[in-house]
Amino acid sequence: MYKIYPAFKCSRIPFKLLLTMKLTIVLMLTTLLQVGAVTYAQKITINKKDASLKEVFEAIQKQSNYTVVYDSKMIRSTKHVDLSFKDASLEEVLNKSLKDQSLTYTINLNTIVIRKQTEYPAIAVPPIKVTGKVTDAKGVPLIGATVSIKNGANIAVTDINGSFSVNVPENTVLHISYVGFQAADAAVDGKSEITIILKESTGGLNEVIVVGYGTQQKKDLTGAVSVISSKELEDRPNTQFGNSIEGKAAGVQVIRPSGQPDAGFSIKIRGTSSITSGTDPLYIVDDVPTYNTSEINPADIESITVLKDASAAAIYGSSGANGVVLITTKHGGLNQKTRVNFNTALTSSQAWKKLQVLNSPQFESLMAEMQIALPPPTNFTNTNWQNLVFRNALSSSNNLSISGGNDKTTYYISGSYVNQEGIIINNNVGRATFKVNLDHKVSDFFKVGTNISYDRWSDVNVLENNPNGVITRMLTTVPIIGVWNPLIPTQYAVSPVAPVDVENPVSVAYQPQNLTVNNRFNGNANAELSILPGLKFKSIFGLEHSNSIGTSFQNSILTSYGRSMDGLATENDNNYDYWISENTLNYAKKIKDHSFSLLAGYIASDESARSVYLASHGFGGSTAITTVTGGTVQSKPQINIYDKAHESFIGRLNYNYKDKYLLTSNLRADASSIFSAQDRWGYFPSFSVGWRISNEDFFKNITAISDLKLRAGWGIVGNDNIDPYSRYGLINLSSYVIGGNSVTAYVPSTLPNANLKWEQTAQYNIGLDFGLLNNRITITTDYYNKKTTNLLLNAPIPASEGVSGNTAIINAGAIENKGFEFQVTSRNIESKDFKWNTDFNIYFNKGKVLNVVGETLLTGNVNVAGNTYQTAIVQAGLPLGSFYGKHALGVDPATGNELYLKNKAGADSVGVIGNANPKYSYGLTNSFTYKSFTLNIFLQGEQGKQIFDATRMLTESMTIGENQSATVLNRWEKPGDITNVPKSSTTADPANVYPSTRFIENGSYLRVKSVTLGYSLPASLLSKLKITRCMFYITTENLFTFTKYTGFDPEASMFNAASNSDTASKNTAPGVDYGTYPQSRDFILGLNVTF
Amino acid sequence: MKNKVLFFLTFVIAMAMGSCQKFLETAPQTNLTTGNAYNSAQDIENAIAGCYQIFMGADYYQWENVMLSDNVSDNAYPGGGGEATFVEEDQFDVPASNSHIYADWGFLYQGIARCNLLLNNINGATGLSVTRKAQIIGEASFLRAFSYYQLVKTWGGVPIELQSNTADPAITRKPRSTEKQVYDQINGDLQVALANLPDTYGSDASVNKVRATKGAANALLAKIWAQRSDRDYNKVLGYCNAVINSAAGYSLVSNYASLFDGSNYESSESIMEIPFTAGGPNASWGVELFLAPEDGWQKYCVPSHDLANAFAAAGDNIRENASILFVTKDVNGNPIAWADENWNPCQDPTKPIPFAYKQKHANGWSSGDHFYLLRLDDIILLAAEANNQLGNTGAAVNLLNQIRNRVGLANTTAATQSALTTAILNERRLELAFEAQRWDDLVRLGVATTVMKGLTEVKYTCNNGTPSAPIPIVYNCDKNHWLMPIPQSEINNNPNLTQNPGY
Repeated sequence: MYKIYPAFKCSRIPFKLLLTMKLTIVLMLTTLLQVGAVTYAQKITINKKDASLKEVFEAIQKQSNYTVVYDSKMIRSTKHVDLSFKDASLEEVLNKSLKDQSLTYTINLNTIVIRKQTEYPAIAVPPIKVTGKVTDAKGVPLIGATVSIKNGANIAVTDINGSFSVNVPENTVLHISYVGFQAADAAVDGKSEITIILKESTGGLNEVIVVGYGTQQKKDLTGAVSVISSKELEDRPNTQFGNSIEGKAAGVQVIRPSGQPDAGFSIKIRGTSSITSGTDPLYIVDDVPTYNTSEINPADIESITVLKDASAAAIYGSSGANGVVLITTKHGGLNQKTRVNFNTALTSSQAWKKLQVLNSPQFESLMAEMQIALPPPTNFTNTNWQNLVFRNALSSSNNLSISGGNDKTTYYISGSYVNQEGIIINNNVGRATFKVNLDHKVSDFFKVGTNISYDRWSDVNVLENNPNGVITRMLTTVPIIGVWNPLIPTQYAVSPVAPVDVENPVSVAYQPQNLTVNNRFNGNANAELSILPGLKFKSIFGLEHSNSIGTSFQNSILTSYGRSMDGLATENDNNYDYWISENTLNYAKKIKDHSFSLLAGYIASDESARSVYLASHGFGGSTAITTVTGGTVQSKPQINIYDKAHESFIGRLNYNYKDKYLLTSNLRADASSIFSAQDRWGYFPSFSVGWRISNEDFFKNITAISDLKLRAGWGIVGNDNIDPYSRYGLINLSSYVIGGNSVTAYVPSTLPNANLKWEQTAQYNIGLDFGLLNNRITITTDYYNKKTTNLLLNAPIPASEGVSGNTAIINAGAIENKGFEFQVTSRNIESKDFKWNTDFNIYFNKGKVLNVVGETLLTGNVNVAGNTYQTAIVQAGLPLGSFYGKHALGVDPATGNELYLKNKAGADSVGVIGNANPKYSYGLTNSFTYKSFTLNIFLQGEQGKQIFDATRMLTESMTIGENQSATVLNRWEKPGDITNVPKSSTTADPANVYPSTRFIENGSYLRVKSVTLGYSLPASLLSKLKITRCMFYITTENLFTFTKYTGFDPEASMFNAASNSDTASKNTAPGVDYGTYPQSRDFILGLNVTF
Repeated sequence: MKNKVLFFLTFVIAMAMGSCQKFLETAPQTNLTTGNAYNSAQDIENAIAGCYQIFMGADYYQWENVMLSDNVSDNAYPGGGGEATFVEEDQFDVPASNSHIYADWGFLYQGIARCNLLLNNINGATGLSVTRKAQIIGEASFLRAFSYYQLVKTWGGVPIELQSNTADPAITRKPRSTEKQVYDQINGDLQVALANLPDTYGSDASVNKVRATKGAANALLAKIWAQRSDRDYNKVLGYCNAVINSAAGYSLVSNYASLFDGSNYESSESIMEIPFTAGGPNASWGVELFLAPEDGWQKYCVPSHDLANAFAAAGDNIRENASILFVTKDVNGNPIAWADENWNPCQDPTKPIPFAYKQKHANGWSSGDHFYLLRLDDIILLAAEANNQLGNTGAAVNLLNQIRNRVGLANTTAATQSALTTAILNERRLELAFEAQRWDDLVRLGVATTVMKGLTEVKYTCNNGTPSAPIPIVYNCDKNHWLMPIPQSEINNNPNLTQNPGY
């Protein structure tokens, strides 16, 4: 039935595997969904005198699979009819029955709708039969395209050959639409056969955009929305969701805080709008919010919509403050032939940069100068730790999806497996995903569907962003030792130079051995009921369950810490549950030139989590058992449970007058369990308007500009992204020993604050959309100004209040972000053999703190040689991301000490020393197609930002017996030396290492993020092989990086690591590099087959 | 049509069921809250246990109090591989940004906050007997005083916080009180403690030596009246005698070493101690930081040559062996794995390296060795000091000799008031080494600067296997260094604070 065998020549998958999968799918579909064979009983036989219309309709329903929809009131007073038909067509029967009844009918797919004739313009001319064929530009039939009468009902869907047949008046204009293609109109003009060629939509105006709780056509949008289509997603082979969105949407900053495969992405939309509460956008996958996007299989994504301004995001009210990212996964199409897609890729990754450090002789002479004792040099080596720690990593990814559908049911099933090695030894991630999307039409007015995904993720990670992490140890471990202790070869060598307890980086990479295994299920069931024409009720129940088990084991022999604990095991188990129930009523109505749609809904959701932490030590020197059970000394188990619930009412009005004047208004009321009853409800309204200037009469003669729309909006969104029990003064349970027995001890840990309420962000947005030269060039620009007030601020409080952590959550402070975004898409050249498309976006954001309870917050703690320094300052008037420290004036040639700018009092002046925020960020994609070859080049960059290279505070400090950067070869050694590197220090005096402008570097970069060269087998060969598509590609990621930054990676940002729970530093101290794992340079060889 | 109506109704009902206000009432399940934790008699018992728990829960009492006293003074070098924060303490070069100083400040106020919450909530609890309620008020008052005492002797006048229940900046940003005001607050709390606490809670030493008692309150009163600048040795003597003559029957144990051998805690000599219990959540991890050569890294608070010499000069083997462990090889018979810059820079396997040894069982970060908070020998020596300062030389000599004779030392030869002052100070040094007392003694007697400047301590580097010439260690101590700097982070968060002079 499906000619799939030839495909194997190309894909080389075991025959049996595919065969089995195919059988499984067929079985599932038939058994689970009870989809029987469907035959159309189109011929009606009826022989009845004085039949009521009701009887006629019942007979039709009985004999055909058509449903007749009518209002019983409407036919109450109709005349009875005499009918005598044998094997007649539906139309014949209906035309006879309704003759002179002032009723008419339309056949909408398999539904016959009976209406009063006055509702529709009388059809003056008798219908004729028209057959048509819908194809794409290459002549490939489009299956499942919708054929409708222009501005009227749907009347047909194309079949497996792309064909349709309708009976329409000869002057009808047909409207043909198909997802991913620009809709087209075709005038019948009396023809009995027509062929319609649809062009692929490239961000066209009729493109259907997923917005909150529904869809809109792009032309009707009034808010600031960016869309990334599956076409763009396919241009770059991805293993993570974040890759898909990086550099593609103006105003969306994607921070890759680390190159570790599990690092994830930190996404910020239009700047950072909070200081200490969460600033991640809200992610919605197939209508259901999710907390983790790194587990999504990017191959399953159909499109990504980013709602940037308040007017677009307000429908999501709470947590909409940081923008909303809507991810829609792929579905099968109605009457779509089974389509199998297989994608496999092999990746080789390397470190793209190494840093120069001292070799053994240079190190020894530095130690001599610093008067630091070295052991007898008998066993000295000259170890290059970077060569031992970085590796050539090999990764593979495989993805298989099958989709299709008949006239009632569609399906999409996929599975993938990715095994990704990090460029640092022992660092590895494996991820398997499985997904099923099903939609079924129970009847013409009732649809059900489900989206289900399951993924499993296992992760062996290594410590970074830490003075004892693998990156810092790789740079600072003395070169005079090797990996193993020469005296006791079962132990890792530790530095013999004070401080002697520090491990070498190979040891750090392997000990403790960490493993996290995460299983996640998420899915939803949905149903849609069409109650009346234009009125729909939709209900979705979604849930997510995830379970993660993190274990670590520190061997009792290998490391000094392991020996002192005699082995140490930990286990951290987390359970996460989320459910959401969304119920919406949608009403759409068009009265002449006025189109309305109204949405009302009720949403409830609950999120709960439970985590258990266990630890033990004392393994008696044994490594036989590596779980917590093996330790003889058990720590007290820790259990943490939280639960938060939300309840919301939503309403939306869309209004469109003559396709010229557009209005959208949202209102959302949100209740959050985080706040006490009197402050629980937050109300989030928004209004936005659009003016399609190009549809005005006066614009008709301007042909160069094919589309011009002005948009303006205002709205308020909220944020409650704080610890669920923030309003309580929490008391932990601990224990003390009295009378020889352990007794319960109450230990207060947080301060109560019953008056907490919603953080609010109000935002204005003005945008202009242009389409030039028949929309070959489309431009979208936006200006916004957003202000966040009542910040949920985890404000520092004096330690004398006696709360560990010395912070408490209060509503205080305000932040402002202003920005400008520009996005252009251009089809530069479109000829038969050669195509060249360009996408470019650039955005500017300027953030400023307006108020922080009149104080200064210092964040971004880094610990250097036992001293904790803050690297960032938060203060009214400054942007978030302002670096903090002293102003270095250079090295005093007389003393060799770093000179610092003094304040009036004569002390070193401490203040703002840099800014981590780029002046602007941009992404540029050029794609070229020449016959069967495609070339896609994606550049991305940030300009005008600075990096605080705190790693250099370790590698250029020369205060302790650790290895140093080769930069210190230029150090000051004697009076008169002119240099920018101060002298070595024999005391622990940190004066020369103090955070200062010395460590602030230009972090601007331009990166050739990805270059993909693809070759598709030519159509002639494909049709012989019965394959739809077969493409080989080679991709390089991070091929070149243009930057002046001297550290490993200009995208490094230690506090933005997904694992970092210090939200304050995440928001306020970006761009700090402190032993941060760099991104790799990758070479990917892949194959993508569809048949 | 009927079907559609049915469908619709079902959904409407489903919607209505979802809407339920109770569903939004979530409350902590693994924590109590300040709103529900102080209701019953048992709650109050748990809350007072929480006040004691600071002794096990805070780094300050695990080991940092010893670093702040013995490391800062002439008893020890920082060790630990030269970690800057402790080198700074040792070298009188502590920046206000020193992270340990900030952490310790916070730990002590956390101890105070627990007592504040209990004292402010105890009246709302039901089911508590009148006697027990009075005792608990006494215990909490004592513990609050104990924390304030640690604060005032380390930083001088500090903010007095007696509420600890709001984040309102108008209330939390308290200015510093004077040293006298803080000592008066401590004295006031201790008078409440004295009035409410029993001599003993019965016959069980594992309760009497763990809970605050009248004896503990008297002992702390003696110490605060000696330590404050406006000291009053009459009061010191009075409170010392109250301890010595207490109905609790405190007496010196005959074997000094047994106080620290790990199996004779809660003795008659102990007034109050932290009952760390090995191998569990109530264990001490701090001991591992002083001891245990087998894990291959240099430990903190390395005994100084000056202290070792002081034991030798006194011919005091018993207390030296109880206080310092000399080691030449690790447990595997290998040479010690680090270059000790003060004792053995070239890892010569014949040269011993010392460890602080008052707690002897590191037990893999999980020690059950107790830490003494108040002990009779300390009070006897304080009584000797008070008698000497008040001119009662004979009484002072008698008390001093009690302590000397117990460890096999002959009667003191000091006869004048000033000779006795020195003798008592030295006796306290040997008796209480590594018990976080030395720095307070030097400050109290006003000799901290002269003692530290008079030290002749050296360190060495190693050149190709040969120790270098000795490099003198200079201690730039002046009177400003008697107090630690107010932590910079605290000043940032409370602009009403002023820094100590010299920082």
